[in-house]
Amino acid sequence: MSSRRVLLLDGRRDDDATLVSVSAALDDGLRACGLAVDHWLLRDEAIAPCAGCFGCWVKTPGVCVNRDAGRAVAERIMKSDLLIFLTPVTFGGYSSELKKALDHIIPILLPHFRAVDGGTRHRLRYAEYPDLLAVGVLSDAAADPALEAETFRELVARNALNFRPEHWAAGVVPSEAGPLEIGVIVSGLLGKVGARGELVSIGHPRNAAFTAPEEVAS
Amino acid sequence: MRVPRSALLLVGSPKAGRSASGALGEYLLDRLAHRGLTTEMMSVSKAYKSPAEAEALCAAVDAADLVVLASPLYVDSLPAPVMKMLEIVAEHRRQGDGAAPAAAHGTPALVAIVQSGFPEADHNAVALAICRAFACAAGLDWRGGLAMGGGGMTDGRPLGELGGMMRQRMRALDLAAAALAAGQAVPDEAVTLMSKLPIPAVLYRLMGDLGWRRQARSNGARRRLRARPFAGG
Repeated sequence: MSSRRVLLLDGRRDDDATLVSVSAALDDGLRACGLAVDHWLLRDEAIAPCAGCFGCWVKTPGVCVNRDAGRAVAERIMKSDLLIFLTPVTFGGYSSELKKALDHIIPILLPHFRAVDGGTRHRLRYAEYPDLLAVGVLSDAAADPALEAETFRELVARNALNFRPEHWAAGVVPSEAGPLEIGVIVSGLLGKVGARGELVSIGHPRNAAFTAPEEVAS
Repeated sequence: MRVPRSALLLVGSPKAGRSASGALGEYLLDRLAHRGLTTEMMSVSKAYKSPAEAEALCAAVDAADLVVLASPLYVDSLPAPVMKMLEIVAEHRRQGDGAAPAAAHGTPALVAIVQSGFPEADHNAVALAICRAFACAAGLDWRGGLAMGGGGMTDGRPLGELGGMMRQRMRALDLAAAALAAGQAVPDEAVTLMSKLPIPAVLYRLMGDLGWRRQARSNGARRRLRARPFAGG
């Protein structure tokens, strides 16, 4: 059994068949690798929205001041070695269910600013952070699937810049994918997550933007 | 493009009190009112907590000619309550025979303002892309987005009280209001003016760091500011 711990933040809003299949494939694939998976179904959690009070920076540094499940987000992330986001691609972003947890991620960073690649980010609170894999299920009803897929990729890339995981990857699964295709896609994603900053093509024409590897600047 | 008669401001800040997003949105709404539009303001946070408020928000969107969404940036995107509101409104407008319900005077339009505490306005680009995709999904006419950095400088106060520091941002919103009231998209000049930080980024970062230390000190947390409560797994 590997000592690597996985936290899977499951942001499904309903039991969309493709998302359920991707979720099962992720669990199966991770456990087949001997990894311990903490699969957190967020829609079952009462997490109050981040109030934007910055108390997690200037009152109780590193810990949310609100005593609900949102306080556990930072702790569970920092106690994992691989962080996985699973979400329906929602207008190119994450679902509200995933976002209600992710909005509580800021205490893993310091409030202080740092200059990065000509821009500004927050300084790192910790010496090490988990790797990051983001998997989005993209509805075939999306008005512009290619654009939403690219927005999703850009969002994950920016999240990765925040805490600079050693390895990160992002992929989008089309909602019309069948079980066999999903299995292949998820296997590919899990295999690729070890490649630094590599973005994953999943064999679908509209995800052509995902074919080019791209490194997280360091 | 259709000339709007009414504007609805949706304030996306989860803060209970004053907010930079609210201040920006209210300034734009005031400018639109001066151009003859009837205006209304609603809180996204209230709609997040109450199904009845969410239903009222959906109805208000249907009835408005122009919807103004003003939101802060949370972790490179929109806050959870705003995402929830976008999901609800899009689903609401997709109901029926698959077509969006008819608005009072035709298809409502959407303009978005997103601001963050980083000095660079570009941090808000993904959030604005999400707003644009939402507009498409919800059957709203996209009239453009305004991105602003340095949101912490406003302290949530009305822009008019902030003097020269906000002069370019107010000019940007004036230009946006003129275009939107004429049924046009936000002009490029407004986008450019809105994105300009009134002080050098290096000075903004320095002031920000000093401000965090001061706040931590006032809370008795200055020595714990860099605490690592979950280090070592």
